[in-house]
Amino acid sequence: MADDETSSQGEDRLSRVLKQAVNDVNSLLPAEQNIVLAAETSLMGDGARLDSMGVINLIIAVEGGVEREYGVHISLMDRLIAAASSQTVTLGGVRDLLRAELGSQH
Amino acid sequence: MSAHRLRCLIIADFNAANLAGLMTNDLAPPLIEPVLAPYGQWMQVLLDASHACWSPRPDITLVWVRPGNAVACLKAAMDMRVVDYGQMAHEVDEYAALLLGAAQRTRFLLAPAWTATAQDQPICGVFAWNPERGAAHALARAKLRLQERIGASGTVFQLDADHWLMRAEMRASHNALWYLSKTPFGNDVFRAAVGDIKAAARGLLGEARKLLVLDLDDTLWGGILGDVGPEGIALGGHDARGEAFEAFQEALRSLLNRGILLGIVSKNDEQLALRAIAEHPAMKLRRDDFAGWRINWRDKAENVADLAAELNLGLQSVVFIDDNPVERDRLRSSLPEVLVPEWPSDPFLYRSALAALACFDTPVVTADDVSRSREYNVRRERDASRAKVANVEDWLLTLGTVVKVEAIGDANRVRALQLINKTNQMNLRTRRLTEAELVAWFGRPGCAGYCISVSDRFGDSGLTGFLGLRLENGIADITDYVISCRVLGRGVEESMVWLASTWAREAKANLVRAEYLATSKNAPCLDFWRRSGFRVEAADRIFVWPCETDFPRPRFVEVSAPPVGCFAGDIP
Repeated sequence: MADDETSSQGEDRLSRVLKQAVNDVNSLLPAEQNIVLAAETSLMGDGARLDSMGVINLIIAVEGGVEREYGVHISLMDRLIAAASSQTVTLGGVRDLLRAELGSQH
Repeated sequence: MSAHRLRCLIIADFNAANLAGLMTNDLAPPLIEPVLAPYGQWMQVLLDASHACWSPRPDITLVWVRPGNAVACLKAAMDMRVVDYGQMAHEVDEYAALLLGAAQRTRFLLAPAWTATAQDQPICGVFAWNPERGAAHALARAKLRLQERIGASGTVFQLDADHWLMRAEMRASHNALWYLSKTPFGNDVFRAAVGDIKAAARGLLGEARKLLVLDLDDTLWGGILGDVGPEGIALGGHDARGEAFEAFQEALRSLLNRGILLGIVSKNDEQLALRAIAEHPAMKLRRDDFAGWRINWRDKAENVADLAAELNLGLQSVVFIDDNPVERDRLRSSLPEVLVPEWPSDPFLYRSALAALACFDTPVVTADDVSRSREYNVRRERDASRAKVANVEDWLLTLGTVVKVEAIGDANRVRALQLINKTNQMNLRTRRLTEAELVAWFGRPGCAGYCISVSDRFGDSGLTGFLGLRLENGIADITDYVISCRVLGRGVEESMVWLASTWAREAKANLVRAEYLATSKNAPCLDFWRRSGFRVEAADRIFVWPCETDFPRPRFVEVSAPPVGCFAGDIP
């Protein structure tokens, strides 16, 4: 039970980071280009809604959120750009990457 | 507030897409439609008046060029090379000329003041202010010189970008954002910039708030006055809370010095409250500093509306501060035009909460602004004397009102412009003008502008009226009929119409014509014209007076210009 609670709290924190990052990026975009906070939202690659500036803004917002929430710096830029060369990067993919990174750091 | 989106041309020496995005999505009035000048072409756009960016004419142009790009000597200073200050002055002057030239193609030009960014060499340490090569020293001198060159223009205004970086703290820039997108500032800087740009736009458009209404208990001082008495309230002294309230009052005083009116609406015993204000040793604001008050047990929304009406201000000019969330909610729901900011419960935060209200920004402050509170107090005395005289006309005769008429010129232009751009209610056409537009308009053949100053036995209200006239095809059109609410109801309105008709007759016009352009705020002006005696040519829109008939001058007003030939030399 204690483990479940810890896991749930961790997901809440991660969701908070992603939600804030999506809000930050949407505050820069016209309403019709806003991205949806959903795992399947495509960020880079096929069906991507963000242009390169949007991707940069999203990554910076996520990195900043992780620093504020977890007190650690995780560099996503190179890994996501590399990943985008071979696959579609989704918001869920970003969450998985963060989960793995944070798990390995704790 | 303006309903349409203002067009803002952004000319920057960096990628300003994020700034434009935030500007588009910011819903605070006025709404802005940003247009980005082509990346990397700031100089070309500033130099080329025929560039497509300038059409349609932007309402606002934002020129944000970093110091090292605008002035080569500043790049040298940031690289710690010896600065040739003569050359730097020349380069700053050239940049100022660019801005002034560009300002001809826009209503207002805003330029964030130069500030070093994370991409510049760090400006820090004891060497920063070295007079030969210190970058901080050179930057400060350059900024000052630029302001000296553009400050008097009336159309170019610097914004305090250092403040934006300070507010953004560690998020003022991101290396990745710079290296990947050539955006030197983080979005927190841009958010602060959008707030200041909008505040400046509101001020320049005459939409800045003018009256700050304050609660008393736990707002202006700590504690409940009725419970603890004047000696028991937390204010000043060797007490952290008391110091916080005192500091808040000092901040309010600085607003007063900028021409913002202060008022009180409080549920309290009036005599006790006024005694505390008059006698408490730590009060930074005294009775004369308040333009008016409603200290009673009535509904606060009613009191705020009543006070605004007494001061002849629209509710859109009012800000209300109260520590009580219930009262704030009541005000918001009943008077939505009043700005009611969320207010911290901790008095330590009051001063910073006040500083964060970007609603009082005005580009200039005149002596009249600073003395306005006193003027309202004088008016209160005047109204008290009115109560002693049964007949209004008899009372008006006792005032000894003098209307002084002067042609628009260098000496009165700033105040006239401010009046034209701030006055909402007694404004026939609500024509807003920049200084350049005003000079150009009244330099045209057939056009004349007159500043009206009003005084009486109670005091001098200063420049409180403006009359613009244009003669064309035998018709004298009133292009501007603007009167401060402070002097209404004392014959000034009729005196200005008399002036218009006298001017028209001397100009050999057949008719004086007033065309009323309705706004959401100038209904009082229509009421006057309906009563003016002018013939209605189009209902509630066009009013005319035949020049063969003298328009009657109020007998209780002395106009300090000769009735015949008073416009000698001015007549087209």
